[in-house]
Amino acid sequence: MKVDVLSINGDTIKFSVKGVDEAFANALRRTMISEVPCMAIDDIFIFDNSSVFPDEELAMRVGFIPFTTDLKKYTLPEKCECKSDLGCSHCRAVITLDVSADTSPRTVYSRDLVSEDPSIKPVSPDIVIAKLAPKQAIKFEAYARLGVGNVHAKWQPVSMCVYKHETGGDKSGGLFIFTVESTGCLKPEEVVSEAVRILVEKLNTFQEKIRRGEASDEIVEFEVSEEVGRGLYSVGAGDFEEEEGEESQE
Amino acid sequence: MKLNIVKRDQDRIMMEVGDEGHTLLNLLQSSLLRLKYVKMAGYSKPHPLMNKSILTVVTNDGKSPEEALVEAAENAKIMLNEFLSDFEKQILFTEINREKQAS
Repeated sequence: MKVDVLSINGDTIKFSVKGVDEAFANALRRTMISEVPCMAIDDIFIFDNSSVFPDEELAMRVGFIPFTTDLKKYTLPEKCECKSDLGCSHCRAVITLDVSADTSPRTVYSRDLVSEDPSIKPVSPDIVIAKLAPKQAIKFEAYARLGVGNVHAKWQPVSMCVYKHETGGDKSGGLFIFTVESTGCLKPEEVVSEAVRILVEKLNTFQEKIRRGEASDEIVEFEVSEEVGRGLYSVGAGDFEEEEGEESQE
Repeated sequence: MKLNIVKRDQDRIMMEVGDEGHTLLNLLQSSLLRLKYVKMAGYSKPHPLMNKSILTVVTNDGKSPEEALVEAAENAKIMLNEFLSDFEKQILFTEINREKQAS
């Protein structure tokens, strides 16, 4: 195997790997996109919102702001020891926003967000959250948490992650040229090495389970993850019961 | 990760792998097929929305499919760790070069 780092330019890394197969390259790519955790706002409590955006729209816009991430300091909420809904200082960072436009219109930027932890802040101060007309205001408290891309795209640490396979005509398996562009939440090289660690960890778990003969787990075919019920789009869960109730009355 | 063995014959194992998809299983399959004593290895996803895959391994030469799975995972891990150490060495090298250029 031969690894070459071709360039690191800001948030983009280019590297080539020789002597691996397509499955290896693809596993690495897929892990970087959907399994490497990063920080994003997950729960939001809106105290005041008189802007033109409905609360859900505002929550979504805030959710998609990439935050700088410290993977050593924070753990995934489902792996945290606190086991509480709101989380503890190891699995969430509180971010608040309190802005109002007095007499003239005002643009609310990501730089207006106040984070309790200085290591968790928006990657860019210039992301527009909303525009306020005079006398409009936004005030909320939000919880940023670690999460993975296959639960929600806001937790995807890479904006571009591709490889080019140059076969070269010989039997060596060819050359894979990766281009990985981080959203800024992690350094691009961190994304790559974290992805490898996650894959190794998964293979470890698999091996251990096979060795111990623990292979009769119950698998639910269409499991709705807890995250979906608790996340930013938790709309509609209560409505079904009401409808059923009405039908039975008829 | 959840595992559930559906069928287990003399030289064949068919198991459900919960919460895992192409990412891990394709890597595992290619690693399994590199082993001389693996006659057949494959996986399928019954439905794209279902969060489970079905992995089948058939071996010969008197080796058990469990042995094949453990060895294939081991080989994949060796490859990943080799990549990681090479990659981190290269990153360190690039950073040192950058510092030299800056100073």
